[in-house]
Amino acid sequence: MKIINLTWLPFSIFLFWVFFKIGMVFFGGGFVIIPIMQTELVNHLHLLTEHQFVDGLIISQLTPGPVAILVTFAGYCIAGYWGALIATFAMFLPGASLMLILSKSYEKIQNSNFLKKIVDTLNPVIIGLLIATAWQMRKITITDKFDIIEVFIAFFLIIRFKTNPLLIVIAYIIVYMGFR
Amino acid sequence: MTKDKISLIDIAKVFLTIGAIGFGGGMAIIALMQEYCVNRKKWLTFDEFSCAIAFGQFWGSKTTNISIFVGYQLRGLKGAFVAALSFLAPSITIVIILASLYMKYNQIPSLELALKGVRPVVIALILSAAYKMGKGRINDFEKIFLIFLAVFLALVLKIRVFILVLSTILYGVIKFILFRGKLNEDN
Repeated sequence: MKIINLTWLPFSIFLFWVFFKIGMVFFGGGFVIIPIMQTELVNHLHLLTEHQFVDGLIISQLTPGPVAILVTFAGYCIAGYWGALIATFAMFLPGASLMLILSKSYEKIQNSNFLKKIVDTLNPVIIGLLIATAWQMRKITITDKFDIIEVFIAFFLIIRFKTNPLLIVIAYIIVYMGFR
Repeated sequence: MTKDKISLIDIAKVFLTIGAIGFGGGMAIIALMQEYCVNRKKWLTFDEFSCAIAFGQFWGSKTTNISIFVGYQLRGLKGAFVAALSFLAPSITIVIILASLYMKYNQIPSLELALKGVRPVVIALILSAAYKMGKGRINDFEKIFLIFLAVFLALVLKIRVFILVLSTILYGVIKFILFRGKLNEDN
């Protein structure tokens, strides 16, 4: 995929708007961003290929910091350095602005019941969206029987032993480069 | 509590460190932040930090929100900017470097093979995130129904996530308003 030249101003505004919208529905933290970005950037707008998106997820696991840093990768793939910065800024803007307001007046809002209730309601929907995303990704991630075993091993390690995904990624790379 | 003015450089140092060593996302980073900001530096009490988590998980990146909260409590607006930017700076830099390497070299056969080998981890990662979110919280019929409904709407009817998330929030707001009277009686 060629890197689009960002001197074209309308495109930067378009990119800002795309990622700002993603930030607007980024409720509940962390992994929610995966179904949102998958449906918008890959399925709907075709700004990223399925492979790029999955590989971006792997790369964001190799990186310290929040899962949401995936937007920086997406922005870079779409439009280079500027794209990365615009995407990151636009996506973080809504949530960060609200957090600033809450930081200022959190003592007055002793009752955070409302926010908690909304997050609780969203919880099952987000689980459903994550399952849907995993299902959509199956074709490009699972190509043979060995891959299915890999999924089970990784899932088991993460759930049962709380293994850091970074270690699993590194271990799989070593196994693949060395033995296959 | 009277707080001595904590220097912005101090805030930057701590959050750069957390940003650089915080592998594994989410809870791992929150634990790290608590260790640095509450236990070691004693910038915040445990209660204040819990408040940060409660508000932070609502909208946007949880960990970034917590760094904004901590920064704000220490040095106001400036502190919030310094904390959030220094928390994100290491990951943004590393992601951009890795992304540029990826765009350049992803056609190389051996790297392609390595990526192919690692891709199944992504499925495990997403499903384990779903599992962790649901564990202990999916305890009634309504929630199980909502999971199936979301899967159905997303996969079969291909409804956009925007619409799904926003209508769920609307549903949550309506539910909150309708049952608020009941909640107040409980308290």
